[in-house]
Amino acid sequence: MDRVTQSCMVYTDEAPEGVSDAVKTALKPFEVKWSVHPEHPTFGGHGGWPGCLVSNEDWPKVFAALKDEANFEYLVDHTAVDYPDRKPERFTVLGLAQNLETQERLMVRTRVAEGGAVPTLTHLWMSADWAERETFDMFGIRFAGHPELTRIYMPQDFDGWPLRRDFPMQGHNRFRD
Amino acid sequence: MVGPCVVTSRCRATTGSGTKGAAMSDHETIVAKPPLPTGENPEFADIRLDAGDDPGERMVLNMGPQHPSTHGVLRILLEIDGERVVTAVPDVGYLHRGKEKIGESLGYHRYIPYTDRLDYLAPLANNCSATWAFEKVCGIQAPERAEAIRTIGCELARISAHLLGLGAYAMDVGAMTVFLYTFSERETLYNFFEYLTGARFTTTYTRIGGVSRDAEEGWLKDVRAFAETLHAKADTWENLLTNNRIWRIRNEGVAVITREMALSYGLTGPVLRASGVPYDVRKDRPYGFYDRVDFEVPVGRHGDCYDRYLVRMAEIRQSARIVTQVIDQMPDGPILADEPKFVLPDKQGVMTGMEQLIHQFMLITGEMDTPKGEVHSHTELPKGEGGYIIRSEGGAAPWRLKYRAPSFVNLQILKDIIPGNMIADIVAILGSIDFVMGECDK
Amino acid sequence: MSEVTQTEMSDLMEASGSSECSILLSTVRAVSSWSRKNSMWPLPLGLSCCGIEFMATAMSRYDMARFGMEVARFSPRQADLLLVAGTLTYKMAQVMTRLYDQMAEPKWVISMGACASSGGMYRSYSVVQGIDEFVPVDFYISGCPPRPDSVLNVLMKLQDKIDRDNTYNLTLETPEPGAAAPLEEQTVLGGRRHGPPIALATAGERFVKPGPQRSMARGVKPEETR
Repeated sequence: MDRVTQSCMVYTDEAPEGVSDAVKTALKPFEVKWSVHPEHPTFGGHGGWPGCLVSNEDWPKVFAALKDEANFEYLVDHTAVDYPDRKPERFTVLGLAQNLETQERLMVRTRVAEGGAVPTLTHLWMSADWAERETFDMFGIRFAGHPELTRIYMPQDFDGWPLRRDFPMQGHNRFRD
Repeated sequence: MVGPCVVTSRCRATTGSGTKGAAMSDHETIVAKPPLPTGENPEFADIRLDAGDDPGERMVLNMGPQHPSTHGVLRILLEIDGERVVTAVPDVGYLHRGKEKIGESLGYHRYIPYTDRLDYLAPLANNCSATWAFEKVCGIQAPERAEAIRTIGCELARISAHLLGLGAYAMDVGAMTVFLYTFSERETLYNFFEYLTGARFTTTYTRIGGVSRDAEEGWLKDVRAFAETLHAKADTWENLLTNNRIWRIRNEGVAVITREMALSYGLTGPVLRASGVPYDVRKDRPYGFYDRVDFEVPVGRHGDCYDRYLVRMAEIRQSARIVTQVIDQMPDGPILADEPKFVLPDKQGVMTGMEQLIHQFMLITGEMDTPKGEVHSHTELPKGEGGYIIRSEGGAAPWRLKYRAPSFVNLQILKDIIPGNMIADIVAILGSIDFVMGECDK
Repeated sequence: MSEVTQTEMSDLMEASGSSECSILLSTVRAVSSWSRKNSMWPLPLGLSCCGIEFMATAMSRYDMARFGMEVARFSPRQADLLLVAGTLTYKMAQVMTRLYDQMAEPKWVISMGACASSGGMYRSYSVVQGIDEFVPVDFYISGCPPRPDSVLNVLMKLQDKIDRDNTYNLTLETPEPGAAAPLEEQTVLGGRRHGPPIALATAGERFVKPGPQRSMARGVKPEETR
């Protein structure tokens, strides 16, 4: 595989078809770039998996707007993707929210550099607590405002961020021969 | 003890206030120590719970990770005041095996055995969930017969997982006979899994594009007969517990989860449905064969441990119903999709033909031309809504594979519902939440 | 222990008033190994999937209770077999070694499954590549997960091992006050014993020393040790 320096997602300014009006209205005040799956724009009954890219500062506000105005009352998942060769921002933080009545889902993304911080979502959903701890544990991305940002999977004195692409599969283990 | 626990001034109500602020307000005593510098007592350099300067009569107790009733390796730090729990901090990660990183290096085809070991009480359900996600990445659809067999597999796995959860829950609370009954039933299910897949427990049955072995007529007949008898058997199990005075006293009113709490914590599965939210991925975003069968989604009213138990018992019955319907509508046809770019060739051909051998080799070792993009695919696993977010940059392995574990999300609520209850209630709560650490820790 | 002479034997038989005698003549080793192997109390460290197969082994179909092992004691102070079933991570390894240290002699360790024996399919940053990095293991059960039949097979082999290995150091003349008790490093069957030999000596009593520690390594036939 060639070295991946950019993510494959293609962003436009126009909201794609699968996005409902409620979401478009809720996200109007923010600067949002939209994307669909580049190679399956309509596959899977998910309307091309619409996603959007927002800035770090807007990250909690976008989710608050989705939750309060568009009734996206459920945070499905929260994670990050590492592009070590992408500059300046190495990580993309993902948050997937869902509306339980209409079953509409939206993937919201933001980019953050190594050592940077993303504002927390714990004031909106309690499930963001451990989800952000997991992302922090695996990638080293800090979440500003999180009540207790400590490691969750690895021991507290573990050195390194396991899911980064440049962390070796077997770790830097001193016990390993 | 019937009804909510008596609340003292130092404890928190069992219903929980549900907001982040109240979670830590009574006692600012949880001290998660920052990483220790090397050299300073590396033993147990983990989450600690200090009882503060003047603990009074409170004691910090460690429950787990090795404990008969933590359903796997979960550690809960408890601050207790006599018999009543004041603070509970769950600590996970004792079974973190690095599955997501393994997925990034191994690839889609070779990852399926790892999915068995996620929710290891229902391996078939995990296999199916993973292959549905991987098929979405590739952009292919499995044939009808394969979808039907996968649906049967998922439902049998659901019955198996609920039976074990129920048995372990009852055994921890004290009703040991139920464990023996449910395990005998699971042995019958293991027989079916072994007949179908070759392995009784970790099945690794599905493949991208379908399933690996066809379901024979004899198997379908036997499974249907089993599903018909399941209602009567479920009556037997319910006889042991549902109207059992001790069971009701231990479980009714314990650890009530309100609807708002459940949604805020992102709970899914029977735990969420017991709190009154009728959200089931099989009904709301149907996949597989679920849009062609007729079943009900049991929903509870109170959100206490008893309701969670009732919801699971009802789900076992509904699963049996689904299985009979799918078998009655079983379509004929191939079991693997005809997509040579992504689907492994037939094993007989691989063993005898050069072309198929090379084809298999190329797909497994990395020459798979997967479309680039991002998909998310979540299904209704026995423990809740679980699935994958996969970011693909081409190739045979995902760039990022994130597994949403329903147990991981469900466990967060422990810090809110355990405080205020007694130590003996913790066991009932853990059993009713019914989590699996293999899934939680990945 | 003094020998019971023939006359004393017949006197006893007369005294008990029956032609059958309710006296059993055996060796201490045989009786102790019989009682140990048939009443093992496992500590099931069910970490992951193998734990479920262990539970299946203990249930009605495969029934470990036939071997006296259904008493699963989750407290290490009360257990004598540490059965590690499942993947051991570095975070959990501290806990496992602590449990092993808390167990009293004699103790045995069985590593059940591929993950416990060698890390299994997980060659990753957090998985211990075999519990024998931390504790000495008596038996490894392969399989992912091993069928309950395999587990029962190994439990029976463990019973045989207890028969062979069970050593009682029936010395001693009373040790001189101030002298340390002799600790012999024994290698029995190529593995090391968990800890020093058991000394059945009470102050003031003298036991007849039955000879050097017996082991397979010295060419003792198995029948002789029963």
